[in-house]
Amino acid sequence: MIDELPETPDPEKRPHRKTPPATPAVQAWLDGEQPREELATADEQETAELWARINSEAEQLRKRNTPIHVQSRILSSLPDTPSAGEATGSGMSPSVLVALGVAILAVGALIGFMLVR
Amino acid sequence: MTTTAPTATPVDQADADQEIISSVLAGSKDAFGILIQRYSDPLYRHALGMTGSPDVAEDILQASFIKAYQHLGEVRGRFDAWVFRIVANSCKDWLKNIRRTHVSYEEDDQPSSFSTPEEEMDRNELRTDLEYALARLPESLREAFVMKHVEGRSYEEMAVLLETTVGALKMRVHRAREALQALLEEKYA
Repeated sequence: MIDELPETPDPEKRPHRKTPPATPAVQAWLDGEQPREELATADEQETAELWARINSEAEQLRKRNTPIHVQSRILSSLPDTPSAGEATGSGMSPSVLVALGVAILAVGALIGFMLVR
Repeated sequence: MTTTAPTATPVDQADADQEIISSVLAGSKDAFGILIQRYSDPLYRHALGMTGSPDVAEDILQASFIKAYQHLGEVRGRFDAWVFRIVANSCKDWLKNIRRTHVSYEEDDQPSSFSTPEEEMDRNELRTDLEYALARLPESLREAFVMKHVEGRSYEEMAVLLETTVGALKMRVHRAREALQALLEEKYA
């Protein structure tokens, strides 16, 4: 039975090495798709331990809220009126509208010129 | 006996937002404050996670809400997704600009814009290192990691906000984890 126990090297004697890369099993655990208990190897557990610490810090960052003064600052800096959006209706930019106007005038002038001749 | 408040579904929330938008467009400027109150925290966390600077995050949040207000009549679909994209794009623009202004930019000399020294004093060392490591990730990986781990969003929600697929986002988050682990393990493994 002793042979089946996972190898647990003495940390004092173990040479420093990088954490094993996150295996698909570790990634699945981090994605919430499987429980940590299903990480089978010592390497996976070691990686999971590092990620548990990182996640703990990430959760602290998640608790940060907008400073109270910022919301009122935004409200007080809003311009008087928002755009209604439907004002142009056609969805065309002003430059396109100008170009269209010039084209219509040109066609009109051409037709007028032909009629006069 | 405890009672549980009903949770608003995205559809309910979108309808409620649309009502507020209508009343803002009808002249009730103060109603926009409800939208600010409702969405500023997750948007602030996103800007903070992306830029690492509380001051910059506040500025981006303010500019984004003003932009949203000015173009409120152009909202199509969910307001929260629309305003998120304004903030996300502003963060990316800021990151591009700060890199452009640092001509000698290299991975190792990324400008330290996370916070003032005073703010850092009270911080946990790992948290500071995590923020530093995050700042060294490419934009798309940082964005995916921040949304998943810092903002705690689901892949499905991220896919809606970023207009991409769950598979593509998983790939980005996995790559971000690998890169972060490589950056942090020397010290913490």
